[in-house]
Amino acid sequence: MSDVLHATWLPALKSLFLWGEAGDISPRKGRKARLPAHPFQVVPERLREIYRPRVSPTPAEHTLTLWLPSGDVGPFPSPELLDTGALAAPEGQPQLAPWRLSGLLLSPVQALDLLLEPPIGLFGADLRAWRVAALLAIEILSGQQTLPGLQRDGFALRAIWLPRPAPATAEKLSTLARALPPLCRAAAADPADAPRPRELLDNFLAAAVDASIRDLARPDQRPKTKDQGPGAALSSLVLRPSSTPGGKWLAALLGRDPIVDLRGREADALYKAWQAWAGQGQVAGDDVFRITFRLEPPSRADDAWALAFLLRAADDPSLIVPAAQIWRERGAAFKYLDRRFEHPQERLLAGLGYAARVFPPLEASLRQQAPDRAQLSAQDAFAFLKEAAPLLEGSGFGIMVPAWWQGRGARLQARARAKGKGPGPNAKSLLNFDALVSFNWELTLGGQPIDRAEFERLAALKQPLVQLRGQWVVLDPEQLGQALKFFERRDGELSLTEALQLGLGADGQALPAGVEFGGLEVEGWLKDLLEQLNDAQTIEQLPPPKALRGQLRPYQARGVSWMAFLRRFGLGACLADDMGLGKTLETITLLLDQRERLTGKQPVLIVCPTSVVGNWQREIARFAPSLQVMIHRGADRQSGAQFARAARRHDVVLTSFPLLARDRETLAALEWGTVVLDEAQNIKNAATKQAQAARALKAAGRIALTGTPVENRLTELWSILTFLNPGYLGSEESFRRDFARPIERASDKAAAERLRKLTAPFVLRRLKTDPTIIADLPEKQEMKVYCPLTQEQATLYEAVVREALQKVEQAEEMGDAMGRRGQVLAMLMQLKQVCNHPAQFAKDGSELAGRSGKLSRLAEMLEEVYATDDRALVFTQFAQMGEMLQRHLREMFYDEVLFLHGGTPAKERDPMVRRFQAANGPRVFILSLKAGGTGLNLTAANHVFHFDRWWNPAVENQATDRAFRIGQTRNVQVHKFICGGTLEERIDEMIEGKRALAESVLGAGESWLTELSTAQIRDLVLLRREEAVEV
Amino acid sequence: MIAESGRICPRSDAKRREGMKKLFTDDRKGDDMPKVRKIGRPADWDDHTDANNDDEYDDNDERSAYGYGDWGWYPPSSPIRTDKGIKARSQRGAFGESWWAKRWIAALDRFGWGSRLQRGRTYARQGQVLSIEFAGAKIKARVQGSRPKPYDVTIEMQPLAAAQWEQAIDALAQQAIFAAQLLAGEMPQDIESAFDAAGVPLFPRGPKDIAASCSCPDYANPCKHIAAVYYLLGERFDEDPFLIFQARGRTREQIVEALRARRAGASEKAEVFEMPAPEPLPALADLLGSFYQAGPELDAIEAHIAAPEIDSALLKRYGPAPADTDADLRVIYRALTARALERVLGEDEP
Repeated sequence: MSDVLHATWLPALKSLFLWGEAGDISPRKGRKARLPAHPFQVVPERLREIYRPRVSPTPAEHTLTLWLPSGDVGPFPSPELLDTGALAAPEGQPQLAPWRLSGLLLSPVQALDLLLEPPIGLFGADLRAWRVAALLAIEILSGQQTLPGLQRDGFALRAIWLPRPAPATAEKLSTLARALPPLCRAAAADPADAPRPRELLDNFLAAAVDASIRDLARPDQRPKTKDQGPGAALSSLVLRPSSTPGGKWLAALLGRDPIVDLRGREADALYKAWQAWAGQGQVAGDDVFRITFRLEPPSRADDAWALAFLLRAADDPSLIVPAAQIWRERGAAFKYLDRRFEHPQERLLAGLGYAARVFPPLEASLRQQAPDRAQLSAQDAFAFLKEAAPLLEGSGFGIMVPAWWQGRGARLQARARAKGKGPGPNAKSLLNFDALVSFNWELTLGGQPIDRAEFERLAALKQPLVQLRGQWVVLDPEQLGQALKFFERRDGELSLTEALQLGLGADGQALPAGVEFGGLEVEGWLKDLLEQLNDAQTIEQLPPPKALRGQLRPYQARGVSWMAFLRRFGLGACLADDMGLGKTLETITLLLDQRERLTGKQPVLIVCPTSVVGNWQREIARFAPSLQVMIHRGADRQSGAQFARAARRHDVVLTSFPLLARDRETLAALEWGTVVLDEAQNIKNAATKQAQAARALKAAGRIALTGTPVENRLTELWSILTFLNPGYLGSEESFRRDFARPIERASDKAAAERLRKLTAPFVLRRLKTDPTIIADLPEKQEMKVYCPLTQEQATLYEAVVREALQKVEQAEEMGDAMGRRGQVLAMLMQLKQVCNHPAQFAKDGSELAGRSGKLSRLAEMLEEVYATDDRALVFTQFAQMGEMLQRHLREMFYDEVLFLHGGTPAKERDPMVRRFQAANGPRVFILSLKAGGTGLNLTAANHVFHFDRWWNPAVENQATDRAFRIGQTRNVQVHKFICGGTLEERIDEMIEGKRALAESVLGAGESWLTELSTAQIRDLVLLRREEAVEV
Repeated sequence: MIAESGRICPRSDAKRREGMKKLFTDDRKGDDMPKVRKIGRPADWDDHTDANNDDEYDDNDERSAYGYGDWGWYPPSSPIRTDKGIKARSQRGAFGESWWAKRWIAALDRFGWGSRLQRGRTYARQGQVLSIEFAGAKIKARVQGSRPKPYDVTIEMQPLAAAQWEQAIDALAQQAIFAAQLLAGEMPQDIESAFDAAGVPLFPRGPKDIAASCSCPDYANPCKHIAAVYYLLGERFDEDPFLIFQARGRTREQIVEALRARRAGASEKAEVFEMPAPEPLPALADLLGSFYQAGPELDAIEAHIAAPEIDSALLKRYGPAPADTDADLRVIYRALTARALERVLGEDEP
């Protein structure tokens, strides 16, 4: 599981060699070889499990020698492997040494598949660099930066696609060549002959581009949805008859077989024609000087434009030599300072000749003997700017155009003006999410509003470049018609959603083609809203509600004010603070605030996982006892009008996600004041019944709580935000098209930024590590986690109580004090096991999932631990429970889970600790309280879970201190699990209430409990069903 | 004047043909090895024998000479088909794509060869011309006729005199565009006007300017073998317009050189320019400290996966792709963009 995957590109084989470093050392034995085998390599069989090819052939196994930095005993592990803690860090100075490795050979198409959609796991820097190369190969393909080519192959001709990166792409490739890790060059017969990074990269790109096109050209077998074009073979689009040389060339460019079906003279002729065509590189200059065109607007609008011919130093853009200077040169080389340009006249001429073909208006100027500029009409100047300049730039020419062309300001833009209708919300009244915003469009040119008369006057000039109030502006003829229609538009209304999309997304998708979005100008309360959305610091801070029984930390008070602010505008809020920062308390405070502030008294609906209903109930009772809570649960729960009546009599209705889906009709019939979804990741899949039911709820305000970093899980983000603010992120399909896929697959940073701007105002996420938060937090935070019992647990629990109490009574009647004591202790043990898990009590190795409230809750909380890169210790006093947890969690998280118990051999303990402490080590470490409670240093953990209780704070604290000790740099959260309504809660209350209880009494474990009277014991263990059983 | 040796005809009727040919050839070296000489003739060349001969009947080789009229006692024969030849790109209509190929054909058309020239078309289109090579100003070709041994065709254009070239180059030097386009691999469209202004013809003006010979027994000149080569030369000029100059006695390099001399007035010997050596690559053994690490730049690289701003930009920059593939390549480029985007950003595969 902690394998590190690597990839080496082999130019000679045009294949990617996939290999890996294994976390568990399993040296291959046998076979004496000349070279030693790499001692911790991943065996090919395992690689085959990791990488499954989409296209044939099955990757062949291959053996390769790599030169790696090595010590006396073996190669140095990569930092990625070291971070897993699987191996100890090597010592001493490394030397290059050859190692034999077995791996898989991937074809270029398979290599792209692997790199573009990497399997789950750890990757070496080499593989990450090749992933960037693969993305750049796709950039070349989608950007049409590839030239159909020909190569001599003996007597035959081979058709091939050649990468011809545009300047921007070429720059990225140079950067990538510089960044390529030396490991990429490790395959060589002699390290002195290690391939150059640039050669490796170019070879990879050439192979990847050519092979990908042939792969993409194949007929698409996937079933098509209705809006997708036919997936026919690309060769079927070719019209040129396949009998002609051109047709044969195209067929060889698109088919599997690259050999062109031409021989002799026809082949020669095609090759020569192609050479003449393709050999037109380097017309634009060299590394020293580039031929450059500078477009100069006339000083008077009616005069001609000028396109000046220049040479510009490649490394110093300010060094410009006019063409006139070149024509004066008599020598075969032009020298300036320390720069030198060979055959300046010919090269300038050749460049001009080439440019004249791309941009024919240049030709007239070349009728002179020594031209230094071309005179252009405004139309030609526009054509140059729009069409020729990018082409010439793509060919390597320098282009200097007026700044206004590149800015958006000189274009036609549509600026939106929006004003919130009405007086806006105040402390008492709220806005609805569907609130309207009055709205109009305004056409601007050169950044200035322009009315219809002026626009028509300019359009009548029929000039693409005109001066407006002394400023050059662009009137693209293709846009004029659209723009004219624009004036026909009436002023209108927008929903607040649409206004926010415009205001935050900086995107005008509703605009007619050709007109750019010029931004949104807002007035009134809408202006305040947008400003505050963009800067949460400006939000007004609310005083704490009077009825709150408790103290808010400063960041919690800010969170409440933030939610209240959004609520005021009818906007939903996602509070995504890290686990343990007190989202529950913040929400309860908000509910109190709303109750005190607002006139409406509709009930609040809180939906949460079954396992935390009890927690909510207890927290509300603790912090806001004035709130009347109704729990919607059980087989006899109310429905329809009866439910509605009951709900209206309460302040808060608590229910669980499964019941939300089941009772959708009943719950959706009511108008809720606010709906809160706790652990909102439960609706991460928008298609589930739960998510649909959540969206169907009618509410004036919506809150989603989650501890996972929702902003990185895009489909989850869509689902939650669509619950909060319906329609705001568009349809799921458009969201996937515009955001999810570009960001996840192509690492599209622009799309990510747009999404961030759109969503940031609605998601508040504070981290434990945030310096402004950390100051407010205690270094160690202890929390009780109340878990419910499942029906099975409850039934079992009651049976055990019945039976055991009988035995206790019998022993008491017989005066057998020792027997009674034993019976009591046995009963306590059994009940604790039932609370942990029925399977632990039954010892039957049965299925684990869904049968224990504690286990469900632990899994939910560990999910957040995984999602936030935290680490956790889980203590239990039962080795058997630890084993069950290990098995269950391992399957659930597909990750290694460590377990240290009394039976763990001493020599295995240190490696376990080292691995847990390593930067990329396992996230969860289960320890038995006795074996792991003392001595170990496990400061990598910042969460400590006590799955069951020892009822002795000193023992528990000692265990907690494995993480909370010197070397711990983070705040530590301690979660103590308690099954509500059971003996666990009662004993906890007793201990809390009897702080004075002597340490000696508690130190003896649970024996003090045996001193209680039978009545007291009965009271202690009796199940309070309504508090215990899950909803 | 060109003399080209013919070859022994393996066919049994060879003797009889030779007999016939003797009547028309004025240059005989012997019965077994006839030296056939055909020379481009002035426009008054007797043309009437070809009156009814057009493309449709062209499949019958040598028929033009032997298969009709007084000489009709030889059965019509067909050329031996070959697939090794150069097939004309234009299978229908006019030959040549660019203006100078058309100009070449038009120049020949004016010579009054009439249908004799036309007869070469089918040959050219069938691919009977096996090779065309330039040896200096001389053009040598091999054409598959009805005999197993291909015929040798030689064509030579009247070279321009040195003084004429000087005049022409003076005229070219007046406008930068000529040098510019020549250097960019283009033939300036109006270059002929510059030649004309200098009183120097670029294209042959009459049959006198071209001397051609063929080893076939056909007496006519151009025979269909020569005519086929003429047509294909048009396509050659499409591919490399400088061959016209070459045929007239100067290579592109010579012309470009002469133009530079005009511009610079005096040409200096280029100083030796040392290319800067590529940056030395650090040895693997010196990189052990960062062996497993990518440069910090790696994370800054952001792929831009999108359709290009300008469609088929490479085709626009390089000009029409060879072998008439331009239109198809544009379609292919667009489809590739769509599929590459679909590949990375499309819906998940089931």
